[in-house]
Amino acid sequence: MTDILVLENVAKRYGKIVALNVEKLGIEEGTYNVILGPSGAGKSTMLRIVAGLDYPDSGKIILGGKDITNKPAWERDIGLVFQNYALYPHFTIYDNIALPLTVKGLKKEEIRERVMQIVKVMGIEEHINKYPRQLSGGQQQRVALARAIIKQPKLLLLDEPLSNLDAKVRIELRSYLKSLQRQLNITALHVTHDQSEAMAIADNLVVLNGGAVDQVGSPKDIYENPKTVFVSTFIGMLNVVPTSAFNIKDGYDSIGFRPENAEIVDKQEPGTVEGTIKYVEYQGEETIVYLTVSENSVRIRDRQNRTFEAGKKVYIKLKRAFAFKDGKVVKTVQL
Amino acid sequence: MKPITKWAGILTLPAIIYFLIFTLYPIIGNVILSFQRETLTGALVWTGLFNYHTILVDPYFGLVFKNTIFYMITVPFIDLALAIPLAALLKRTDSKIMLLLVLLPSFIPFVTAAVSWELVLNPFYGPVYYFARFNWFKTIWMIVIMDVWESLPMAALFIFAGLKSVPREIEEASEVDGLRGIRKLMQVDLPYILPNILMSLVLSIIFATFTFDPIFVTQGEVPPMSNVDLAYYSYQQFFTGIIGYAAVLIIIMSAMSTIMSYAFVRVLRGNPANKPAKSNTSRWQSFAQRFPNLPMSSAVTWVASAVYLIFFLFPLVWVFLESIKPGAQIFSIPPIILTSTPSLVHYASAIFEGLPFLISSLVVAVGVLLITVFIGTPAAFAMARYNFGGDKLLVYVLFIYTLPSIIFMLPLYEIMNALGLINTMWALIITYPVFVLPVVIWLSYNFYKNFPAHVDEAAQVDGMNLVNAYFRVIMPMSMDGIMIAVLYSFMISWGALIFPLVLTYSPFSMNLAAPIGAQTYSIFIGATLGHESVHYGTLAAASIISLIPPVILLYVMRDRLERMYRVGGVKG
Repeated sequence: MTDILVLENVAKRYGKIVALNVEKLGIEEGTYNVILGPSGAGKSTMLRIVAGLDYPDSGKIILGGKDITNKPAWERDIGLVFQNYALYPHFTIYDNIALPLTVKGLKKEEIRERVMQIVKVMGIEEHINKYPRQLSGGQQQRVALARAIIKQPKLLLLDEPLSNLDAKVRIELRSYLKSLQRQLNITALHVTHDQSEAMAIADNLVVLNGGAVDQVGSPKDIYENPKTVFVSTFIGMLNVVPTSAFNIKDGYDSIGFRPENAEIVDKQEPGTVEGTIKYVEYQGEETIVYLTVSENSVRIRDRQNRTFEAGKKVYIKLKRAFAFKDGKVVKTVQL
Repeated sequence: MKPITKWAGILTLPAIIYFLIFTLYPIIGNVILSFQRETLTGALVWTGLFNYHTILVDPYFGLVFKNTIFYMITVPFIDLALAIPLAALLKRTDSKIMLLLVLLPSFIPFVTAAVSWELVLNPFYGPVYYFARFNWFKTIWMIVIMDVWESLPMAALFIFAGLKSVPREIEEASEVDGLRGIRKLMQVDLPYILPNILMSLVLSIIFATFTFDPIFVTQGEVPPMSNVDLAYYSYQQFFTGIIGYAAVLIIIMSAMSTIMSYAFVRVLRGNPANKPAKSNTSRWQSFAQRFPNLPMSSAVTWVASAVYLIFFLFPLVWVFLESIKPGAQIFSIPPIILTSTPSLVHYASAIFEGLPFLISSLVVAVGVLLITVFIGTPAAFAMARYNFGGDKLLVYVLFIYTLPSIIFMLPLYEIMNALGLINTMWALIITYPVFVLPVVIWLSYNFYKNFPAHVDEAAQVDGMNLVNAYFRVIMPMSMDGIMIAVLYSFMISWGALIFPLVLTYSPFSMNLAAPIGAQTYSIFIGATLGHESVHYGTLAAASIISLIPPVILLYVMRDRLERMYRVGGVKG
C-alpha cells in the first residue's frame, strides 16, 4: 500500500506557540483517517495546512507523489467539508455542488451528469432547486459533502463535519460517511475532538497532542496498546493510580487500567487489594462502580448485572494494566 | 400585557413622543399649510386649492421637476457603477489609510464639499477651467459631480462592509473551489451582498433626488434656475414667503420619497431565496459564469486606486492650497498651484469671523448627540430585543430615515416660531433629531439585533428592571454600537444646512447673558462667504476647518468602522 499523503517535518508557529510540529505522517490511500486531539492540539492547523488555507513555516507536504507545500488551495487535488458547511447561500443546491466543475470549465452536459449522479448517491436529488437555508443541517452537510467530492479529489478533508448536528443525525451521518468513503474508495482525513466518533469511524487514528503526533494506529490498537499516558487517558476511560496502591514495586511512576480490566470480588485472593464502594452508577447493560483504593478513586465496569452496595468493603482483582514512566507506557502487564 | 412589554415601552416612550410631535405633526401640518396662504400681515388664511392650481401656471415647475428627475437617475446610476469596483478595490488593497481617504468626502459637510468643487470648477480662477477650458457652471452636470463625490464613498462603504461580512468559510470554500478575481465577485460576493447593494442604491436615489446644498452654494454663479430642483425650489418659495405653495411642493416630494422609502424598507426587510429556484441554475449564475476566472492583477488595482484617490482628494487638496495662499495669489490667472509664500492669514479670519458660528455648531451638535443617543439607543434596544412597536414602529422610523429634511421645514418653523425659539440654539437642538434620531435608532437597532440575549436576561434575573438593565449593563456593553451612533449624530448635525437656514438668521451674539443668534458654521461657509461675497481665501480656510471634526472622528473610528458596518450591516 502507498501513502497518498505524506507530511514531513511540518511545523507551524503562531508567535511563540507551536501549533503544529509533525515529524512524519503518512496517510494510506483508500482509508478513512481521523485526526483526534483535544482543542489546541493542532488538528485544525494540520487540516488547514493540508488544504492549502494555511501554509507551514517549514516542512513538506506531498500529495500523490507531488510536493504541494507551496500550492494554493485550488491547485491541490482536495475536497474540503467545513464544520458549518459553508454552502453559498444564494446558490441553488445544484449550483453549490456544480461549482467546482464549472470553475474547471467542464461542459454543461458533463457537469449535469456528474451532479445528478452524486445527488442520487447522496439521496438529495429532490432538493437540487432549493437554497441551502431551506434544508436541514444534515441535508446541508450532505450537500457540502457532495460539493467536496464531485471533483473526485485525491483527498477528502473533513473539518469537524458532524459537530453542528444533533446527536441522532450525527450518528446516522457518521456511518454514512464511512460507507460513502468505502463506496467511492476515496481517502478521507477527518478532524474531530469527539473520541467516540473517531473510534467508530476510523480505519486509522492519528492522535495529536500539543501539535505533535502521539500515536498512529487502528482504534483497537490505540485503545489496547496506547504508547503514552496522554493517549491512554484521552482515548477511553482510564484509572491512574500510584504503584503503591496495588503493591507494585518495579520503579514505575504510576499505573493505569481500564475500568473493564479489573474485577470486584468478595473475598481476598492473592494479588487483590482492598477497596470501598463509594457509589454505583447503573447504566443498563453495564454498571460503573466507584471505589476508593487506599485514598485513590477508581472506576470499575461490571457487565454481569451484579448488585453492589455503597459503603461495602470489597477486593479488586487487576487483570490488565499499563505501567507508566516519564509520560510513556513502558509495559503492559497481564495478570 | 406582559410585564416586559411595559418596560420595553418605557425605554421607547421618549423616542415615540418625540416622533409624534416633531415628525408626525409636521407631515400632517404640511397638508394643512398647502391649503393656506400667508397674508401681508403674516397671518395664514384658507385658500382652498389655489396653491395646487399654482403648479399649472408656474412657468418654472416643469424645469424644476425635470432637474429633480435628472438628479434622481444620473447620480445613483453613476454611484453604483463606481461604488462596486471601488468596494472591491478597498477589499483587495486592504489598506486602512486608503479606506479613510476614500471615505472622507462622505463624512465632511456637504456644503464644504460643494464649496470645494465650486473653487475647483469656477470659470474665473478654478484650475479645472483653466486647464480644461470647460465651464462647468453652465451645465447641470456640475451638481451631479458634487452629488456623486459626496455620496459615492458611502455607497462604496456599504458594499465594502458587505464584502467584508462574507463569512470566512465562504471565502475559504471558494478558495478551495478555485474561484478568483472578477468571477468570484460576480458569482459569490455580489449575490451574497445584494441587500447591501440595493440599500446603497436606494439611499443614493434618495440623496440625489432631494439635492440641496450644491444648488444653494452655486446660486448666483450659474444661470438662474438652471439647476434648481424641487428641494431648493420649495426653500426659495418659503424664503420669499410663499408658504402655501412651498407646502404643495413639499407634499409632492413627500409622495416621491414615500415611494422610495417603501422600496428601501422592502429591500431591507425582504428575504430573498425563500422559494426554490425555478431551475437548477439561477439566471444570474449562468450570467456570472461567463466572467473569466482570473485574479485581479495588481497593476490594475493600483492604477484604479490612484484614479479614485485623485478624484476624491483633488478638490480638498486644492482647497487646502488655496487656503494658504496670500490674498492676491488666489485671483491669479493662470492659477498658482503651490504658493511660495504660505500664509495663515485666511485661517485667522476664518476663525475670528467664524467663531460665533463655530460655537453654535459645536453646542448644537453636542446637544443633539446627547438627546439622540439617550432617547434613541434605548428605544432601539427595546425594538430589537423585545420587538416593541413591532413592524409598524420600525417601518415608521425607516420612513422618517428616508424622508429628506426639507419636508419638515415649514411646520417646524411654525412650531419654533410659536415657541419663540427662532434664531436660538434651542431651535436647532430640538429639531435636528428629526433627521438624526432615525439614523441613530436604525444603526443601534441593527447592533442590538445581534446583541447576545443572555446579557439582559442575566441582568433581569439579577434583579434589575429593564430600564436599569439597559443603562447599567447593556449600554456600557454596547460602546461599539453607540460610538457609531455618536459619530453619525455628530456628523449629521455638523453638516446640516437646511434647518439652520430656515430657523436662524443671525450669528451667535457672544453675549452669554442674553444669548441670541445661532447661525452655524455651515451657513458661514455656504452663505456668508460663498455667493454673497467673494472671500475665497477665508472660504477655503473655513472649509478646511470644517473638516476637522469629521477627520478626527474618522481617525478615532478607523479600526471600528468596518467592524461596525459589519455588525450594523443590512439584516432585516
